[in-house]
Amino acid sequence: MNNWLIAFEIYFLGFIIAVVMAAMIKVMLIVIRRLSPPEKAAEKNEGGSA
Amino acid sequence: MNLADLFQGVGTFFYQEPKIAIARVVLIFLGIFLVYLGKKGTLEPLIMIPMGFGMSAVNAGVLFLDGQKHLEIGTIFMDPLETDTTGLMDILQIDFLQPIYTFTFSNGLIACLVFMGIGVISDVGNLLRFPFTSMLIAMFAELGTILTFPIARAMGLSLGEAASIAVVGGADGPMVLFTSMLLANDLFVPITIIAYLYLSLCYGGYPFLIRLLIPKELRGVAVKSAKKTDISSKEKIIFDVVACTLLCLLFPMAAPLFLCFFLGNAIKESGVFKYMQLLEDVFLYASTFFLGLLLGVLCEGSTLLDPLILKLLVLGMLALALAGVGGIIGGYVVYFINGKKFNPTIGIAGVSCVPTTAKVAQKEVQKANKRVVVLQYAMGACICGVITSAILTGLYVSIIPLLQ
Amino acid sequence: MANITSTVAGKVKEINISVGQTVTEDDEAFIVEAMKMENVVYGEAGVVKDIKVKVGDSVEEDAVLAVIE
Repeated sequence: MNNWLIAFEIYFLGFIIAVVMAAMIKVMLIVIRRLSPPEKAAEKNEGGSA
Repeated sequence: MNLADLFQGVGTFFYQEPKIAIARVVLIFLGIFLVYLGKKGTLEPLIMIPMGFGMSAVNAGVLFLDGQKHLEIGTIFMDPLETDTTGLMDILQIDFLQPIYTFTFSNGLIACLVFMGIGVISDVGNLLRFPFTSMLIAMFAELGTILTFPIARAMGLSLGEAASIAVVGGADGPMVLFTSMLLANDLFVPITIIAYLYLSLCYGGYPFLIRLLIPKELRGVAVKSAKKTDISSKEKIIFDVVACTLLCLLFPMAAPLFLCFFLGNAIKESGVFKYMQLLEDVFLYASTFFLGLLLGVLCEGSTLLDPLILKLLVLGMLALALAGVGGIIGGYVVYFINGKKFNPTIGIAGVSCVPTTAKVAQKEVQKANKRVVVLQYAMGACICGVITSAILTGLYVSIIPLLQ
Repeated sequence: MANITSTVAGKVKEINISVGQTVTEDDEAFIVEAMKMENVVYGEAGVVKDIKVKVGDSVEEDAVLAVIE
């Protein structure tokens, strides 16, 4: 298999995985925040009085 | 008895091949030079001082291993090339660094411990705040890791050798050690040494690349940030666990590295202070110290004289140079996407020499405009760079064996 | 009334101003150490009303270091 092809195939796969990971991070943060609103309210209060 | 037996460090010069003897002399002086540069701060002293000393000592302290037969010449530091089990047991009891070499270096443990230490001093917060920006810059900074592979192949290297020297562009010493041990075992010594040498040079060399490719006005641009979202430790730990598991599933060959980095980071975020101290003060510094020492001692004149060395030296430099260029291109891309409210210099931090390149970015930006601080963004890109390097290392290590 | 806020997350290494002092934007008010690098936090124009940290404190990014009036 052509060497440049190998290199770019790896780069391409890498890019896809990177984008997927970035998207996963965004999703993860949203999910975590949705699942713990009472905590978030408490944190907000603490932030306000500090 | 002849005179050579009296002061064998000198005497052995006369019994060795001329090119090995010359290599020894060169390396002795190079070692001293490295210590000097490390002390001066031009190169990273944490690695260079033990490495330089090791280099000089191992090339000076050579003796006749077989008494007066004068046929076997070597040192009692360690023997990296011994593969026979019985022979190895003998050497383990005689050579003082052999235990450390056999039980931490050649199995990658020391690389993993360094990685654990890096995880414990890294803050993934900015990576989590700006995942797409960080990933973009980090992937652009992997340009060196990618382009060097076909170029190396064109220069005659095998698949495994080309991949190993290409990984130098990922700017992560432990990963280069790992990859070259797996894919290019005969050359892992020179490849790893070249990697660490050049990585130490990043601090000195990258500022020039930055000044060359980024005009002064752009170097001083302040980053317009939206409201800062708070990323809690809990969120960071969740990220560590998820990312670690995911990456291990995808690239089991690189799983030890993933485990160590994310475990280290999770310990930092969990606030288990005693463990944090253990990893940061003991593991990180101990492994860095011994890594430098072992690398220096591996630079024995006879081990380094592979004809491939010259090519490796060029390719290694190419990999890191292209990585820097790629990172800066990534910085420019984000600059334009963000409506010119981003500093392209941050791109260099995508080359994941943590935290060196982030500091280089910060220094160059502050030289152009003393009020602007980019360290946080740079660190986000830097850490992300570790992850992208890991992704590409995992890909190389998984794909190359399939092609052979 | 503005405040001097930290530009990075790190440890307060030096405090170069005192309560009651008149400071300008060019004064190097604080030094915060982050990632083993020293970062200068510049002042805001006004009089120092209160200094909220001491040397050795860990601060977050945007943490208030001093209150200026």
